[in-house]
Amino acid sequence: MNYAETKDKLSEIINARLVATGNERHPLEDATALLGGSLPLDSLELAVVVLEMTKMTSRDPFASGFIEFQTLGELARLYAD
Amino acid sequence: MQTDVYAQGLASKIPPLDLYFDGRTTAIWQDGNQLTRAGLLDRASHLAKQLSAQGRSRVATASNRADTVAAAILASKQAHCEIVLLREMPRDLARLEQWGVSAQVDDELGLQPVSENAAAATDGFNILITTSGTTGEPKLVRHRLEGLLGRIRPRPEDRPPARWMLSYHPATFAGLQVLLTALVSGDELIASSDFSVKALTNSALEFPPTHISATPTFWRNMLVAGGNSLSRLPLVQLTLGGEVADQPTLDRLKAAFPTGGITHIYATTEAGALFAVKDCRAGFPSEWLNNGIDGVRLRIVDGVLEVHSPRVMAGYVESKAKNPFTADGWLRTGDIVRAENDRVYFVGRADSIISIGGAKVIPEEVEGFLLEMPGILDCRVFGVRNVITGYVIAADIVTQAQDLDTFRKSIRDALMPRLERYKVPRIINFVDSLEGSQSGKKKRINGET
Repeated sequence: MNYAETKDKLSEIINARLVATGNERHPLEDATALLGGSLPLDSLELAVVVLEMTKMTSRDPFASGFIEFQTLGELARLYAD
Repeated sequence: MQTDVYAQGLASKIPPLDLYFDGRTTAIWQDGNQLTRAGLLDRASHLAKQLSAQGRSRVATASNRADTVAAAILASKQAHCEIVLLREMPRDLARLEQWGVSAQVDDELGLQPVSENAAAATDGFNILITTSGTTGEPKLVRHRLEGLLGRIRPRPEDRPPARWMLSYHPATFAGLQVLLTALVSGDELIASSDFSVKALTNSALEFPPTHISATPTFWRNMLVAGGNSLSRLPLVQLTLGGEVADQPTLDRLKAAFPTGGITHIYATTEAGALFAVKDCRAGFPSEWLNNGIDGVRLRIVDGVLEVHSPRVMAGYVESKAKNPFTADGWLRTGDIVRAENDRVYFVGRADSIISIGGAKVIPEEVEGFLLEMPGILDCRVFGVRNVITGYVIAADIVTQAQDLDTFRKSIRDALMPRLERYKVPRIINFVDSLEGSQSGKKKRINGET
């Protein structure tokens, strides 16, 4: 999956989690902060998002340890081809 | 380590293992085939002769068949030999040699040599079983017969023989207790070498038992598998063991079998049979902490239950195994408990704790909340490893709800106000049934999706 496709998938997963947890869908940009910004996502929900991305892409960018990321774009880049 | 003085005192009140071997009555219905007491004793005597002739001091069996295990126990007693009961043969047979096992008893009661180098220092007949090994290598635990029979009382003469259903593998502590109870009391035992809920439920409907002892997980599955047909069972005694008996499961059983007595047993492989709670309430009375119960003393240290019992194991077979006894001779059970008003409740296992960003979650506690929800028939809570928070809580849920998306949301809405946020399952999988382990307990998983 290229970067644009990966970002779309990631946005889809995040919005699905927001709806499942009783929140509204949220406009998502490359620079959207995943934690600590206006996005009502806590670290446990972010953990689920990461698990779902790993399952969907069959790719685990964190296999060798944590890689720092803060925004949606940075996380999408880790999963893109 | 405790002395066996108290156990020996109890033993004088215990009937011998072969009290009811009058030969005419049925001992075991194994996979639908009848085995009389005379037949069982014949098989045992035949095996005992081989054990004595070959000079065996410690043998093992991994049979799924209660009739084979019963005969192997009786034979070993006759031959003053130790018997190791296993749920499965170790993949590496060298393990048997390390355990000092020189031969194994197969399903047909044949004696197959394992190693002529195996050396076992024994002091006569004992029964050795393994811990479940959920948190590492299983350990081999030695029990003396007096301890194993310590809570079993002979059947009063005016009571007709009961018919027990064996839901546990006979090599588990709980299974062994049911097997020995049936043998000592002159009761019948219904046994199946297939331990699936379906096979055992069918077996119960074909040979209706009066007594069933099973894990709460098994009971919940049986209620689902048997449905209304279970009302045909002439159950006078329902026993729960092996796992925490939660109030919703006790209530469901009371509703399904209103005339049956309901008891939950507290026993562990190492501690032996400790006590039985008969008031159909979860936990046990707080006063037992002060007064003891059935010869057992209880105390809570750092939230974990410690026991001092005359029926405790004689020890681990391997000297390298970590000693679970405290310096003053109490056994640390690993069960986390909470004292609340007049009751002490089991919260979960110290070794099943899931760490989420440093906060601790006990899966059994979350399961207790889930089981209170209408529509949840059974559940398993576990941790899924991830790079962000260490673990995140997940739940496998058995339900008959139709609209699963709405049900998923209602689970979250119900738990959020009652539990700390990190304890609420963020991943919910709906499953047809929960896979059980051979001990009949819920299979604990961690770090998997």
